Amino acid sequence: MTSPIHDSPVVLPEENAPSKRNDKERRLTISGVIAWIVALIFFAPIFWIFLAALKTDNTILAYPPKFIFTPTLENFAALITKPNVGLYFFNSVFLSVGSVAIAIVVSYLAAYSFSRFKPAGTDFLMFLLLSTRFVPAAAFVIPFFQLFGILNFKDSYVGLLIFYVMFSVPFSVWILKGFIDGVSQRFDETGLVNGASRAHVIFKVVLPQVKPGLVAAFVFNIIFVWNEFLFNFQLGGRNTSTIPVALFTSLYDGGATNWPYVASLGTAYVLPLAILIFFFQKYLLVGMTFGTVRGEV
Amino acid sequence: MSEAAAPAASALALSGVFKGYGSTQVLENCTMSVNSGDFYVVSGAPSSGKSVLLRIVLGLEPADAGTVHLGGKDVTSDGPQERHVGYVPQSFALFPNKSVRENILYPMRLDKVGKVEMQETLDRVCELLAIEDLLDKRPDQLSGGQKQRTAIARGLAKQTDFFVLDDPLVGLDFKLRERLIDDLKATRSALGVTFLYSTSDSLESLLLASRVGVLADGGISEEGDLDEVYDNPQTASSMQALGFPSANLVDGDVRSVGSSKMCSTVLGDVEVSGDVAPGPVLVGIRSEHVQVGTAREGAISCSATLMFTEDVGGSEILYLEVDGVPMSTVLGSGSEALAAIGSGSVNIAVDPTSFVLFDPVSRTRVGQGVQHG
Repeated sequence: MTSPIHDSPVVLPEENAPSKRNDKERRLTISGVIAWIVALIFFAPIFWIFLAALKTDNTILAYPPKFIFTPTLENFAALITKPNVGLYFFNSVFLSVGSVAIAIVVSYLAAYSFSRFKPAGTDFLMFLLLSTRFVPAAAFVIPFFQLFGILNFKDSYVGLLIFYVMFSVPFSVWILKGFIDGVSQRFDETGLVNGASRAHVIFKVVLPQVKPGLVAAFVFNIIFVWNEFLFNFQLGGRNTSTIPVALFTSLYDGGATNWPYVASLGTAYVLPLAILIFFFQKYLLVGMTFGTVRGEV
Repeated sequence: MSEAAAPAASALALSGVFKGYGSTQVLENCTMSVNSGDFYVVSGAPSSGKSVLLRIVLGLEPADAGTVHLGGKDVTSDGPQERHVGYVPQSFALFPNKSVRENILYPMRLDKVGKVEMQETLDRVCELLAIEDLLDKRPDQLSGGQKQRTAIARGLAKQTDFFVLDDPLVGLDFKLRERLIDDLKATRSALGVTFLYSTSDSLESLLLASRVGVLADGGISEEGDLDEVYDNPQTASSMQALGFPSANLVDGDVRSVGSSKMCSTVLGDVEVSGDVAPGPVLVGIRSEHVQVGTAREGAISCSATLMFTEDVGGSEILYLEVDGVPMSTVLGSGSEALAAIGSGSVNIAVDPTSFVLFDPVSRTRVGQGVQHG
């Protein structure tokens, strides 16, 4: 076997070097193939939804499944004519982007305070913050349901925005505190000594240095809120339903599951998030490690 | 605590400053004064509280007690923004998202300095620190020395006449440090401003300072013009802090002999003067006052064992032992005395007038050696 790389006259120990390299290449190829298979298994349900969205009603559930078919966009055309679909999209985008944007601002300021002023019991407070995520959401659906009833927040944007902000703050504070801790206080002090206000230090000195953390917190929480079902179902209503709830509540049509609707709405729902994650996936690692791993960002 | 304004020529006056963290008291009744135009070096061992002292001057930490006057004005309760002090922090703290130019312009942008003046100042500090070519680079493209010079340039770009430099040359290589020492001295005199500078390096103190304050045991144990403090140290800690290599401290014992007092040390007996009571004392002798070779007239001499030597470029430090007591001296490389030294035993001589006596407990000066009358 001749090496594709070395065509120099240097005599290599022909038996050894190339075969070692081939071994290594083979191992890499095998692990690559395995990785692809695993990834495809994970991707299969999404792939099914994508395909189903392009099929006609009677081919969606055909058995055996049809992989060769004439794709059609009529499901999407039908989707647009459905009442309220536009509203569901607006609600999903507005509630997730709106609440996460507010949450990031609040969390950034909180994280800055925790990092710099270290109020008494900072560690415990940080623990308490995250503790809301220890409890299964179902455990506090009822208290929230009652609270929203009393406050007249049910099926209101304000109520849901407040809820999702609260939902997004803890994790964001954790991510951002890790980042701000990594910015030396000498930067703050250099600003202050030179006449900067605290606000200037927070937004002009420290913020530019923790941009990856802000993006990570944003992406993470968008995923959470975009996919949130339980509370939107319980606390929302006709006016504030997001797509996950709409998918569930309008699943049935004329006594049977309306698969073309589910598939096309599901596809339209997954796509924006998939694109967002594809472009910002490196920040997910940052988020999952609370800012302690950020070499590549 | 006096609320009276400090004298007009005073750039900085600290009075009775206390600062502690938990059970650790860092500064205790610390008092110091810096005059306008001084290159004032706060010299002290690592973790003696130099940075804390500077942070209190800058307003970054509140003092537990005491007052801070800047330019005669009481700024004790003012925030750092109101003190108008130029600052070069120990770590570079260059904004990574800004170019070198923007880093240097930063203090002036905050002060809303006019465009023309801004450009003039930029040109001036860049020329002083030889960083004109780096202006468009980002801090992560700079070497350690370039970062340091940029940080110094940014500190100096502040439109003020009082600058705080917190050990800015620490960790730099010897050559670069030497150059920056010259640059800093030239810069201070070119601008006619006041520098408050901290370092734990005695060589830096000696090369830079016009005035020096020795920080030891939570306070400025001694301050004054460099020459004065160097030649007539009033405390053992300032004698040790200022000197390269560090001054020798040996045990002595004072006794009365007739109307005079004698101090005996491993080097020999020396007549001493001053308000010194019979009993144990600490005797300080600067390394350069320990001569190698035959004794001159009036000097006391003894035999010492040469332990090892250290070449520090241009001169050589000799580490000796006299009856088990370590001593050091310094000789010029290539000097006759150095060439004459074999191995093992050498003869050393010390002029009695170079003996400085300190109380062993308070470590304050109690007397000095005199020439045998």
